[in-house]
Amino acid sequence: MEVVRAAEDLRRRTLSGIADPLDRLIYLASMRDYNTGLYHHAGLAMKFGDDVACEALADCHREAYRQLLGSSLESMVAQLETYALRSGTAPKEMISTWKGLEPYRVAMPAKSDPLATDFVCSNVKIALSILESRLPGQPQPPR
Amino acid sequence: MIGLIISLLVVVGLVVFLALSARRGSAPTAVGSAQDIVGAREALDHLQKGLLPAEFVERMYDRGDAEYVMKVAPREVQKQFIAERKRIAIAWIERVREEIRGLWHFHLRESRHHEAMSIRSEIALAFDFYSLLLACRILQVAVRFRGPYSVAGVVHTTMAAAARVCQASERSLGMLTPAAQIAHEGDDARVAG
Repeated sequence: MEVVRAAEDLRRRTLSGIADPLDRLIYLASMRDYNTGLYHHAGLAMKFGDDVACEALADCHREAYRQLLGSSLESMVAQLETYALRSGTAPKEMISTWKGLEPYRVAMPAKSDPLATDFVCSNVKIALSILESRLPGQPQPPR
Repeated sequence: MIGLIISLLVVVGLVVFLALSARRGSAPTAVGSAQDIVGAREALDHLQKGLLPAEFVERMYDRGDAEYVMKVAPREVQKQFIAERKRIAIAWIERVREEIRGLWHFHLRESRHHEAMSIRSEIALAFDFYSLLLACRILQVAVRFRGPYSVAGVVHTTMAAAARVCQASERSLGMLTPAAQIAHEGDDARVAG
């Protein structure tokens, strides 16, 4: 019950300002310790305790993942475009880095189904290719 | 025509014979092996939570994505998209097939010894399992040669059959799990003692 309340608090105060599932996924993954897999959020932990805050963050992370899994490819392209704009990185640079390093792979929640994760990553790859094809100097789709 | 009827009779006879002999086969153990039950539970969880949820399958075979890519992307991205969806569709079918096979083996080894099943229900269940495995094979070949969007109808039929098999396995596991837990707890108590 405490976890549900903490997750609600997180959604209301923090996640309401992050509209897209992709942004939420990356934000929540950044709250997770690479070594322990535990999530940390100082404000939430202060209010609800470390364990409850960790569970609430994990719940919201899984929720963002499910939303991204349910996103159409068109929406995925739009989300990536918004993410690139918001991050302030030049789209060409971001696309090239994401295609090379595939940083989105480490943003997936633990214990998510490998095939579903593969599907999400595949959609991100295709969305990146579509964005890349829109960069100036790239061949345009056949009409 | 007569040859076909004879062949059909032979096949039906074989199925009935196999069902009967399997039924009389190995003696039931007091409780199902805990490992088998855990394996079956995992297979069932993977199917119900990971592989069969309608929203995931519908997303995977959604034509809207294909139409969008064909409209906005250059030819090489279109090719990449089709190749990716084909790869994932084949992997999905293979995973469903593996988990179904696991459940079938579990059923053969354990559950039916404990469940009061009539021969009729057992044949019906065997038919469901085998037709499902066959449907998965057909799907794999169809996806390989004609792409993931040519099989949407078969996918829905396969999912419905898989859901029936999952329900049957769920019932068997429901009957077996408490017994296995008691046996497991008994083992633990003996070890502790």
